[in-house]
Amino acid sequence: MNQAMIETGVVESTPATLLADLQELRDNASYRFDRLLDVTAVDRGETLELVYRLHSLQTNRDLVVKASIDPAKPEIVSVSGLWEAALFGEREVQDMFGVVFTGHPDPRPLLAPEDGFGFFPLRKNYKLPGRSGQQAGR
Amino acid sequence: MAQLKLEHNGVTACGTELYLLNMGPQHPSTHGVLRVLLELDGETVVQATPVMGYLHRGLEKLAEARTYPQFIPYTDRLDYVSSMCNNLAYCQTVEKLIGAEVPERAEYIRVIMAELNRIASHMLFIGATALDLGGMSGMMYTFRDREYILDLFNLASGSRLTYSYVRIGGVMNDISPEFIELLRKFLADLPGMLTEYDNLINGNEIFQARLKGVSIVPVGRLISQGVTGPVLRASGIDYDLRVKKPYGIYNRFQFAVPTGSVGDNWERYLMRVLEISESAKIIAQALENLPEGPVMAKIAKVIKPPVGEVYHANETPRGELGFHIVSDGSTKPYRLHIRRPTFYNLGCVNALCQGVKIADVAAVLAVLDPCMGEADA
Amino acid sequence: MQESASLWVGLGRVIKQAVLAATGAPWVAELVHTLAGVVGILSIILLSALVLVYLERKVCAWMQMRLGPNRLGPFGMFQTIADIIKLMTKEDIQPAQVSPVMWGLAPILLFMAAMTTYAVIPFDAGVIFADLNIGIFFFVAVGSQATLPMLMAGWSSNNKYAMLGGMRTVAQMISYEIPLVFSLLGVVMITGSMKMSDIVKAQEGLWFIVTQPIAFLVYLIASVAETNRTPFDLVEAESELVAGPFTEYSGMRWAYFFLAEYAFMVGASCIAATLFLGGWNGPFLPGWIWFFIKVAAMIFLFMWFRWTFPRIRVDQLMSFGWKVLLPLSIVNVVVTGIGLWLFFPLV
Repeated sequence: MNQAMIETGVVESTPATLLADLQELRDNASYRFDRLLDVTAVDRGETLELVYRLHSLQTNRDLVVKASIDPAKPEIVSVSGLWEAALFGEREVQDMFGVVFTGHPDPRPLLAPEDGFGFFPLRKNYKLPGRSGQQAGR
Repeated sequence: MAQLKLEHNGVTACGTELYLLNMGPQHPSTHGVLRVLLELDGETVVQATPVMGYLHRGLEKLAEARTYPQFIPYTDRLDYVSSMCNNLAYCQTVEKLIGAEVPERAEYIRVIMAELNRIASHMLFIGATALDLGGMSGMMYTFRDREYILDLFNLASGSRLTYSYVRIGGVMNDISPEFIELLRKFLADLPGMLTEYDNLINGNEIFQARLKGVSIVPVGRLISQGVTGPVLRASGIDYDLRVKKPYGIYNRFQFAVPTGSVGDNWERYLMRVLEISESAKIIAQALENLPEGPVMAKIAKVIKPPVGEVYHANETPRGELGFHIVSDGSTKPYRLHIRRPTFYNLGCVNALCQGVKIADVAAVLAVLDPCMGEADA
Repeated sequence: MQESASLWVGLGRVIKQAVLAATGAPWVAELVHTLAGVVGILSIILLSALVLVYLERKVCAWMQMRLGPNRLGPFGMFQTIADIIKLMTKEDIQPAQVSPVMWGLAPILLFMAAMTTYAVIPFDAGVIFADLNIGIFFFVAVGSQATLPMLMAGWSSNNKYAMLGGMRTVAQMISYEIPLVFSLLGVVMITGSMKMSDIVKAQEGLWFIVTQPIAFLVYLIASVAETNRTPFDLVEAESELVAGPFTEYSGMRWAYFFLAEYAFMVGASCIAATLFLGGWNGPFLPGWIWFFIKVAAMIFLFMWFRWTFPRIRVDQLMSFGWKVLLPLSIVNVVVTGIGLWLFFPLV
């Protein structure tokens, strides 16, 4: 991860180095990405891609940090220690994709009922039942 | 039985036994279906936990089974009080993805509609805050004035609340001269309406005493929580997407962005009141420079964007609304994620509510201006 | 003391003589006369509640630029009757977890306190149920009984919202009773007597609102707090506690609370009219019509406050009552005392 990569706007990270990378991005004086705007995930089939959207108030720059994990064993470190916004964002990803964020202080379901949906809605292997899942018209 | 202590979570209160009070989800004062679990020591809140998800409708999953134009009505129902702004954010994201150019007249109409919707949303906010604090008459006045805006939207799009007016490539249909005339009349009457609110609501000493100096949180905490919109601006951060990351033609308009300094509930309230006048300025400028021309670009009937992903955000009355679309080349999005401002704004409920009285919890929820349709998606 | 020329005193006399002629026993005539007084007071309370519910909605609508009830009867006048029929035909639900005796007693005790205070209100010369020597003191003493039934309702409902409302009630009503009493003290000092008819007689030349303006203001604010009206209605703050101590009551039981609230409001207005606005004094019209006009003006003031102001918070309420109203009312008593000593030396 270096300045050139940051200039492109997308940084590829790995689950092992994620916390260190994000900490660097937040604290380093030349980057200073003090806002985590969004935490989300995309089911790419073989991998589950986590997307962290950062923003710097001082430099008005955006950055996207991506990390891919194995959908069969979806675990990654929680970044709620760095930004409190991750507290809610990660709970949503947990409900929708089943990702376990280790170190999250309050891993209760947020949008799902208290014992979860029973399935992970936004995974590609879950098909919406009934007519909602079929395309209406053309 | 819990140990009786004087201090909990940094809040010093009367040292009685803590008890749990559940506000909502059905409650006259939580805006929509929001549940707040309050841990109280006497009348002082020691911990406030928001519980949401009562309005979760699975919009992001539904998006994967709808074509891009078919998803527009769903965006209406996100933050149902400011539908035009949601439509605009989504359509601009798709236009970014497919590289479409919107005609000039449509851009100006979009700005007019978005700012009118901002005024309507803020009027509803003023009324709802007055209602939550006990001044019911305040609500009647703002709702009556909001009806003028809803009449305008009815004229333009046929609906009063969920418009689906902004479409991919332009707007649904053109605005008539009757619309423009009614709009000019509304803008002329607006200062009088704002003076009425000043006299009845803002200027009321009890109202100010309820909001001033309450719930002051260090701004660093709010930034870390991802709070956006008037709540962040009340704490002194001058960040408005219309100015810092202009979308559409917002860079052509002159307007100020109200910013606070103290960051208490009063300033969170005042930001939105001041934004109404600024939005009126934008509308007046847009009306002046409204060009002639088509209102819809030539877009393919079946929209098949190239493979890729895009993110685009707008400044809605509640904060930064962003759409993240991953396209796989087909007519339906592979993944559509909505960055919802209320979702992250509700993360600061605990910080704002610690140490205040129960009555202030209603005030805090009111000035945060949450819309649960958006928080839950 | 000359016999009063009031219409109602004459009516009472006629009833007494009729019963005396019919039965020949004076004690029966006295009993019927007293009962007629009770019926009169009850009918005043119920009638005024009937009218006030409708009027409140109409005044509220007028201030909010709406129409208010306008479907039932001319100008919607029969709306309250429909409401009463609805309330009376509702199922009497007693939640399982309440403490039955106290829960049932609370509305009755509250209404009793409200009704009893009317015993000392002078509607006209001689038209007073009991012209006690301690008239105004009786009113304050019985009126302060309202605190306990509210607490009973809140506690026995076994509901956190209700309990919170009950506790707020006790805090609020106790805090504002003291400035209330002190504000009335000035009037009593000038009159030299606590008897209601004496107080009204003392205002034949000049109303006490002119000589005791601060006391009137303090009384006004304190009585708004005592009757739990906005801006001091946090007891039943709709947007926070749903309905405060009345949350678990429905139907006719809830109507009792409602009636009691209106009875107290009218009672407080009557006291204001008696002690500060000259009672039944006034030219041309009969005394009781003047009294009615003054009470109506005070009630309109109460309604005006309700529909204009937002609600005050509990700690702000306490600090206002103890740190502002109480010193103000004490200062008023001291100044009145000095004034009396300067202008009317006792020896």
